[in-house]
Amino acid sequence: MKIREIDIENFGIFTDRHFDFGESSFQLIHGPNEAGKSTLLQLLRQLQFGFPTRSPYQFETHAGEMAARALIDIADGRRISFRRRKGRNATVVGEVEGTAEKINDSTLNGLLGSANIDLYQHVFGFSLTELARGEESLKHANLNEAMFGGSLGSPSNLQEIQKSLDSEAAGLFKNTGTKPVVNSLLRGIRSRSTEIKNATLKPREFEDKQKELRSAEERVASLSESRGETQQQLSHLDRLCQAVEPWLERNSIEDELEQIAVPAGVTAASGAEMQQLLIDQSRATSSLDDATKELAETEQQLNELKLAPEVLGVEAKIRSLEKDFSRVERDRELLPQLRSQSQTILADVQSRLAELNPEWNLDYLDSFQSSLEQREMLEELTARQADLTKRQAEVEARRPDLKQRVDSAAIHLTELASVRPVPEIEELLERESAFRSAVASLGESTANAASLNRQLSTLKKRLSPVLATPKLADDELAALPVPLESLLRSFQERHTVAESALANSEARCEQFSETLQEKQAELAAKTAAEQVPDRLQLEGQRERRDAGWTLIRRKFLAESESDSDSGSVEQEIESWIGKTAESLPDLYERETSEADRLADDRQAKAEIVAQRDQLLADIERAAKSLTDANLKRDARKQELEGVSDEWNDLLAGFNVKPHPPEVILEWHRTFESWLDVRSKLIDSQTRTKQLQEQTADFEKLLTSHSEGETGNESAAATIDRKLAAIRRRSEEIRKFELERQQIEKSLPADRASLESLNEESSRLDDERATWSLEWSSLLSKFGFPDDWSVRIASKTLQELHDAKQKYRESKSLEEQTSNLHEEVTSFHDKARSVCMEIRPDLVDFPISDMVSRLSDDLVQAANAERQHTSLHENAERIRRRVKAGEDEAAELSSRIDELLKVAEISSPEDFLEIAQQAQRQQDLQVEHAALTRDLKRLAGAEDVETFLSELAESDTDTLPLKRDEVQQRHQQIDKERDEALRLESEARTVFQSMDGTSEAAALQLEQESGYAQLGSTVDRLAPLVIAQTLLKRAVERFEKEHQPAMLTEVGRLLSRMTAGRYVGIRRRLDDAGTMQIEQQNGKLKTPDQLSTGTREQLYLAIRLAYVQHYCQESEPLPLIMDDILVNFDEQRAKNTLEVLFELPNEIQVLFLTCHEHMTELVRKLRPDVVPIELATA
Amino acid sequence: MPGDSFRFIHAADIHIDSPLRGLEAYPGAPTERLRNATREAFENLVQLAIDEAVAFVIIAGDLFDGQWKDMNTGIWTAGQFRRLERARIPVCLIRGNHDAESKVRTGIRWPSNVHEFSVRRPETFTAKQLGLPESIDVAVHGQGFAKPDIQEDLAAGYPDAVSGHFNIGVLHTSLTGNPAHDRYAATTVEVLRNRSYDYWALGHIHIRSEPPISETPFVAFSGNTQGRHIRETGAKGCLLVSVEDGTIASTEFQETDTLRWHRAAITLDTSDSLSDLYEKTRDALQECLDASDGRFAAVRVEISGACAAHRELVQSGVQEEVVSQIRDIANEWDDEIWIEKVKLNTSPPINVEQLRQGQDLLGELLRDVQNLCTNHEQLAELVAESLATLSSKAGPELQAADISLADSDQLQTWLQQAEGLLLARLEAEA
Repeated sequence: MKIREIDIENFGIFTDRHFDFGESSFQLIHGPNEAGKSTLLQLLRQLQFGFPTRSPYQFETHAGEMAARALIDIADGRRISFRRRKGRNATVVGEVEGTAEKINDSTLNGLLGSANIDLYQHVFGFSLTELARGEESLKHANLNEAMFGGSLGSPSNLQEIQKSLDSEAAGLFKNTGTKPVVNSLLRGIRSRSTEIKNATLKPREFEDKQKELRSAEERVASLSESRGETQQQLSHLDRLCQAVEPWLERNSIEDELEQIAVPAGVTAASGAEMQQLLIDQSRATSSLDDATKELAETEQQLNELKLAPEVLGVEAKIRSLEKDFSRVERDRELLPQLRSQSQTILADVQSRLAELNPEWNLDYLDSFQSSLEQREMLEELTARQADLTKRQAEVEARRPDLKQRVDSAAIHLTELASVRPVPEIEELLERESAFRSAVASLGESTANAASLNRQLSTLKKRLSPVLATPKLADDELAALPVPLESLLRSFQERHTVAESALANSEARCEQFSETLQEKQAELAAKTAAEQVPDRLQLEGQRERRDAGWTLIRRKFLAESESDSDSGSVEQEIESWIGKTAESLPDLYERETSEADRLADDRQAKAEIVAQRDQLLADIERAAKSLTDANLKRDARKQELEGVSDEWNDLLAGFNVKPHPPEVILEWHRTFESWLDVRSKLIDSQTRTKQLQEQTADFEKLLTSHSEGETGNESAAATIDRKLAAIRRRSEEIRKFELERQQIEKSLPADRASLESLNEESSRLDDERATWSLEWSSLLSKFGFPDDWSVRIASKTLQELHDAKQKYRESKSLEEQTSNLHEEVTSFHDKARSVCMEIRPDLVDFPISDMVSRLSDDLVQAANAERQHTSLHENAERIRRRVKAGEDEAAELSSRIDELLKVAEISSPEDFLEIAQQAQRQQDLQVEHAALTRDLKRLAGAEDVETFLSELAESDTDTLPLKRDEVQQRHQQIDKERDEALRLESEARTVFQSMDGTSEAAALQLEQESGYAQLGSTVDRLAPLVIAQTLLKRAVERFEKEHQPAMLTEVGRLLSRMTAGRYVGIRRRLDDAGTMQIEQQNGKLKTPDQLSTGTREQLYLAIRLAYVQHYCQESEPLPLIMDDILVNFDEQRAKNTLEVLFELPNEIQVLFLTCHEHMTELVRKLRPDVVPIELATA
Repeated sequence: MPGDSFRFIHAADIHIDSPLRGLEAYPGAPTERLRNATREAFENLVQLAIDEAVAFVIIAGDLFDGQWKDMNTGIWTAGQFRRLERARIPVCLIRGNHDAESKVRTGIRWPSNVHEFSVRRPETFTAKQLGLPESIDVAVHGQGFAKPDIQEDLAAGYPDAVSGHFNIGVLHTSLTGNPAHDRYAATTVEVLRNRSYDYWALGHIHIRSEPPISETPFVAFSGNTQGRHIRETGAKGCLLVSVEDGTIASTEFQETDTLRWHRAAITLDTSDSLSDLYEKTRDALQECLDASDGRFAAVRVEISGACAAHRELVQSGVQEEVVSQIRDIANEWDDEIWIEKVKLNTSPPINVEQLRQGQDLLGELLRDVQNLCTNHEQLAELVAESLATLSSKAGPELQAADISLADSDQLQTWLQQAEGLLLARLEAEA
């Protein structure tokens, strides 16, 4: 692909810029710093592969979108024009010239061989920075990386990626070691497997534990039984020991009881009773004496007490007087105040009545009445009067203004009726803009037609030299048959390819020829410098020596030689010896020495021999290559001639002279341009005519509606003046029309409003008359004068109402005074009546003293009464006590006598002595019974008699010893049983701990986690190692398919660039595949042993080889180089430029530089290259 | 066929003490909650039977995952059966392929309420044999697996229905086959219908039949009671069946699982960065949690899409960081989510197809990947070669970790990841 032209609409500093890169494959673009070199480089990249979403070349100050157009030639001969804009979708719109085929993003990408911007940037776009980076990376890259890694950005990247993949994979897994993740996980999984095995409860284990528990339970049961037996024995002996003491004691009691004798009538209880009776008798006599004395004192107090029953008889009346006294006192003090208050109110009422109407008095007030209905009527009439007054005021306020507006509008409407719009004037004004546009277009169209005519003429002149029949008329020329451009391009391409192939073949022939000559010269020089017997000479000498030995053997050593054979040997010897006179053995010895000398000589000069052999082999190879190249060159020549013949045949069919394809293609393009311009001219002329008709029509209409004559002014000025007058007239008409429409719209509404106001006023008059009638009626009902206004009537009514209220209040006060007076009088009468009944001496006392003394008398009488009652009750109680004391003393004496009588004893003292013996007997019996119970308890479940008889038979002194023995035995068994119980408990705990809780299950969960982690890690590891393998496979395949051809090409390019100092690239047979560079003298260097400049040339050679290789298999893309030679000395720069010039024709080189000397160097080498100046392009 | 109304539970594939697979422990992971998931699910089942006062419980095989590695498994199970015994609820169970008689020898005597069907011949338990009131006219038929790989149609030999009874068939079978399960005791619905039973309680397939395989007779798999790995997502439990007057009144699915598995698929858009990834993950986890209905959630996060984040994701160490970050997000809900695994399968936001057409080394590489995509044998060979050292060193462990170097889907995933990795590296280096 070659970029022929670009039009930048908007990109960075470029707006509306055009670049024409011409037809040449090499284009120099020169511009100082900041002229936009880098911007142009970016644009050329992005124009092909798309503008990124975020771009530093999107300047906000620029109007319009980021876009550019391009005209490109595709290798298959098609020419494409397209426009690319910045955006997400449909950024490319274009077409294949000469066809209806459209171009969009996808098809353009296909035309670019599906390359991507990264590849393009790394391989085809060069700047000094990238060159320097590439040169540096060569120091560490192996051959593969150097050859193919560059397409990934830099040779060392491939190595870096491989290293990073290796390192990450090794971090996850290694064949040996413990640290990598997988290795560590595997170790954990395996050790956990063992833990799970150990934590697992196996069936045998379960059964063993079960058996252990059962055995422990049985042992406990057996010991418990033995323990029960000893326990029983121990208990029996223990009880026997305990029974010894009570048993002896009981025997002693039984002896004492036999000694005691007591009469039947005396018991321990009757003794105690006698003693108690004697004590009670003494206490009862003393109490009787005290009670008799107390009774006498009480009876005396009763006799001395004074009572007042008459006072208590009127107690209720005195209490009533006490209760009412304070209230009556308050009433008596209140009476004068009430009287005074009532009189004041009455005087006030009379005074206010006299103010309202002198004729009105209290009787009138008493009789005056106003109903609720009348009062509501008054309120309603008052409200209605206010409403009527308000509405009337509103009507009167609006009516005069409205009337004036209606009258004035009616007069103005009559005046405006005569003004109406003129349609023709409006039409003129509407067409004015189109007219002016047509006038402007007419000017442009006329100028355009003139320009097209000039272009047409120029193009036609350029067409003539190629035409077989010059000076054709335009119509004849337009009808001329011409070949299709695609056909021409196809031929041109074939021609170019054939030419290029021939040139390449010739170059290779020349190269091989030079190589052959160089090698031959070198061989000659080596041969001349050092005389070394050649291999053939040595072999010849050895053959002669061996033949001599055969003859010696046959002549002297063979045992049975026949005669005929002997003759033949002699002849052969003679022939072998030749003309020398030496004998066979002597000559053989000399020939042997000579062969050895030659061999020794070769051996001594083995290195020179090897070099010479190598040179010979090289010469042989070069000669063969030259022969092959010559054959190929001849074939290429024939191909080129064939293409030329076809070309001439093709042109013979058209009206053109036979010229080279590029000339004919240029002519074809000119012819297409001529046709295009001619078509445009015809269109332009037609358009001019239409515009002229349009303006004339407008001017005619304008004149017909304008007044006045044309003066000395120009036609355009006349038209402007007329149009201005018409515009003013139109505006006036429009203004009047608007005014009329507004009045017509508002007048009916105003009229209706006025009429409505009049009607409202009339309604108000009627309502006012009705109101007056109702008002008069109401006044008469109240008895008020006819002429009273609403305000007076309302006020008077309110005054009357207030006076009446006061009058009622006064009457109520008078009534209250009278009632109080009656109450006071009644109380006095009541008090005197009580005094007359019990204390007549108090009748004339003041009422307060009277009530006070009656109260005192009542209190005293009540106290005396209460004291009398209390003394009386006390005397009764004492009398009852005296009687009870007398009864008790008699009863006690009787009981004592009875006891003595039963016992037949005379005195109580004797009785008490015998009773003590009875008490002792009883105590012993109780003790005996208690001991018997103890012995029964000790016998327990055994039969008591058997138990006691065993005790009687036992030796009580040895019993404790027997018991201790049994106890020891029991304790031993107990101890054993405790141990058995502990073991049983342990076994039970172990068994019960097997409750189903599984430690193994928990460990298993951990194990699953380990497996899960292993899975996750392998999920990370697998893509890494697969990626490693994929990358390795890709490099190997790429190497296999591309390396040999590329290696040769890199060697050739490097040789050209270094003027033969370095001649080729090799791969060292080590694991890393180190790159080696062969020098002219055959010695090898690695990249890091080269100078920086040579390494840059090497990197450039590799890139150019890759580019050529790529372009052979895919669409060639333009090679853009930005000042890459600036660090080269002039010779290096010259050599490199020559290599660039020699690149195949299909590869376009756009060479950017800011250095003048570089431009000069290019011009010196290629005078036909015309630099594009960036600053002025 | 008038009779008492009663209810029963149909459960299967309980796999007691089978470990939950694929859960990777990490700092902060709530491991304690997962140890006893299958046991807790069975406890829930037992509790449900007690709460609902069902007449009996049917377990249609695979009560255990295989031969007990530990007697504790049996001891604990007997304890659960005793709970049912105290509630007077009998259990009818058959052995399945996992706990076939030849495989699982219990050595523990089940409580008297457990009725295990013979593995030699079909057997029938009636209400009387089960200790149920005789008014419950039920006959339960079944036959267990003597060995794991039973190939014959067991159902064909089941006895005829008992007249006047509600007949239930208990069978461990793959029916006509399911790709996710081995084929055992295969039979057809037609065979089951011919038995004239009322209900077929099936086991073996871990996915519940919803809707049932057949309404009349009712034929259904109850599914397993607890999901055990990421392929067993969604609610798990048993069927609670109500029978009224000899006919099925209702069948209700009852959840018993204590942990629920989810796949959270997150697709990143072209412009999405790592922070967008985290936001989307948070939303996706919330959805999983909502769907867990208060249960613990084990979530596999699957991240895909051509996105800006890809370049970062393939950098060394970043994946681990992203996984940690996602687990941190899960920890925002206290002990409610376990991130089972994070699968990163993103790709760079570039036109790979265009790059594949290129005549450069990258194009060569991508075309190789494309070729391998369609050639399983070559891909398997490549992977086997690449991972040869690992597989020779850790073959049994890889198998236990469910990693198969012959699994086509797995290999394709790795291949795509390798392509994405290389693209990002090559693009990043460029």
